[in-house]
Amino acid sequence: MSHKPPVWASGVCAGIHAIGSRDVVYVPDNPLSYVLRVFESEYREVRLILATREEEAFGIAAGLYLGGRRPTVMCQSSGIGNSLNAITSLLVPYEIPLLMVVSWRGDDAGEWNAAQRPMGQAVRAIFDAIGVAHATIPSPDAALDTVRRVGETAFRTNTLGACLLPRAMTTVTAS
Amino acid sequence: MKRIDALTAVYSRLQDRIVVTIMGAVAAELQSIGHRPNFFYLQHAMGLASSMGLGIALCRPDRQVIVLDGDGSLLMNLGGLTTLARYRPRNLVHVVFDNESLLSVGGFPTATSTGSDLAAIAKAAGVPRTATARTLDEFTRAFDEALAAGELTTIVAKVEAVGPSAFVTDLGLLENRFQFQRYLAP
Repeated sequence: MSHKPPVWASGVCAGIHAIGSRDVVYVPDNPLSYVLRVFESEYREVRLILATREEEAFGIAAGLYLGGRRPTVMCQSSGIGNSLNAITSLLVPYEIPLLMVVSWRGDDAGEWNAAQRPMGQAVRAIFDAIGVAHATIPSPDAALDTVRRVGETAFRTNTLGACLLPRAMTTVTAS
Repeated sequence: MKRIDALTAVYSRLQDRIVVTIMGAVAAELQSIGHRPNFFYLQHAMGLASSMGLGIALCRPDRQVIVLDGDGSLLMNLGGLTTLARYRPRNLVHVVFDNESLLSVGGFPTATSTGSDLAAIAKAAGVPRTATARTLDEFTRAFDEALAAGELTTIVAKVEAVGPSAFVTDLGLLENRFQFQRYLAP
């Protein structure tokens, strides 16, 4: 039984691959599981590293970067809250760049869990406040280009870049 | 055992290996013995020294990586021990200086002062080699055995809760980071 992966998930993987990122450190959620399945089936050279919580993922990614790699961190928007100390006291002041792919919970279209709303509503303002550039992937067809642009900018300028995956895109999978 | 004496005892083995330390006394004492471009000092982000060490060890299997952690820091990232064990890098030696206190913020006793055993926690997490050292001889022996074993090892070194008078050094974060990155460049 095979399922064709969603266009947005294939685009995210292709974008990460296109910037030369071969290490993805992650804490999974349902939308990100599509991305992980594409990596596992189509990009065997990409190393997937599972962290117990998101702050740890950023620590591992910082080590990978200093070791010569271009790491990506994938997590849910709630996990950005778990990671603020790592981002602001390690990645930002040491100018360690990386790409974040963030499954966005709590936005205005498609959230069922009230506990996800406060962080989901705040995450973009928090990124602005701590100097993380961010872009929301506007449509499945734009996923590859958005991820590639945000990632290239991050690694070329020693800064942090985040791509937000809105629920309206990631949860429309029925066909 | 004093931490500075333990660091001095193994310094010759650190000189040509990748070293990641936590903030505070460990960073200041190692720098007082002698800074090297292959030493990275994590000046905050408590708990993440072992995670950074894991990231480096995974992508640089050609190099031996030494993480100099502390009880207060490791207690902030106990889950990280399970990740170390899961990926089990053979080139990582994880040293935990356990002074049973949060020395740099006033000496508040940590959970290791009330019975929590970090070596046992590491072992139960799946770290293949663990040791506890209470004397300088035990520490240097455990450290050298870990280097020779070529297997992920956590060594808990029980040390006195004493440190330098000041933790601030004149090495800037970015200077440290770029020195370290250039040293590691393939």
